[in-house]
Amino acid sequence: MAVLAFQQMSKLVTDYVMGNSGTVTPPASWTLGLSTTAVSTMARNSVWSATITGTNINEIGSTTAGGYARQTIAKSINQAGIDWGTSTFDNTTVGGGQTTTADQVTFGAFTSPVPSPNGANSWVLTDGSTINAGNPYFAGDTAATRTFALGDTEKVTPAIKAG
Amino acid sequence: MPHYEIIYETGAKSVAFYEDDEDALKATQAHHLRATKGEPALLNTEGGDPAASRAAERIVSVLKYDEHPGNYGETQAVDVSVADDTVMKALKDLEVGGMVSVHELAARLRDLTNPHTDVGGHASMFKMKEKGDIWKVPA
Repeated sequence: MAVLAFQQMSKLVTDYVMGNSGTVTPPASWTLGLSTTAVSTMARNSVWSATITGTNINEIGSTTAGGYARQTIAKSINQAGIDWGTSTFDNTTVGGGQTTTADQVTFGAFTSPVPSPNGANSWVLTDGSTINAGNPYFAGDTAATRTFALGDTEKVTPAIKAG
Repeated sequence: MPHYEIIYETGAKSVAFYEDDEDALKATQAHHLRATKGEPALLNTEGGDPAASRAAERIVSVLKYDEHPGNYGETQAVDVSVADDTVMKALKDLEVGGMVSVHELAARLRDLTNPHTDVGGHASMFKMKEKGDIWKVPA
């Protein structure tokens, strides 16, 4: 499964964490979106867009929501709601790092007419609730293309490694 | 832009955007019906997809909001009086020997714009007050 960290995540480290920036700041909470775009066609500077070209990230449900909405993940650790777990450390020089896994997130239930575009190939950690807008921070491929039908739900458990 | 928070018997929760209540009920009842029959949560799965064996979950309530409930606090700005009250209370709570951790103080302030509650179970996970419920299984 391919994964990618986008420019804004790197800027949070360099500008906010390292430099205490007041303009490059994390969102009030994270959101998780589903994209038709596979990680292999994304780039570090990809942006959300309804236009499918180049390295743009295209979100499902932009024309017809069909029950699709972004899900939220709180900026907290091990609280009762959906948030991040206790991080773990892998000391391996190449490929290691600090990993945190969020609680499982549920999408749907999808309705009919089904979302258009449909067919999720990746999940994207982002901000805001507006489809095809906001900053992408991390992305990972779904296990398979998910084409949603009436009554379906989808589960994603995002894991993030800072290496 | 009506959004709906769906609360499942398992304690899972999701947010969905539907055109109206009728659309919301169509989707949630379809999923709930599958759960009562022990059917899968996802119909169109490819060979070897681990999601194929995941069962649908019973739904206990569907709450309606005027907007996505995650929008609460999105601007990360709060009323001065609210910030003032929070800081004053935090200073009392966090003071140790006349000192206070600026990180703990800042965390208290940041939490004002956190859209989530820390309540689990079958309660809403959002601070935003719902407009009402369109489906609720009696407790």
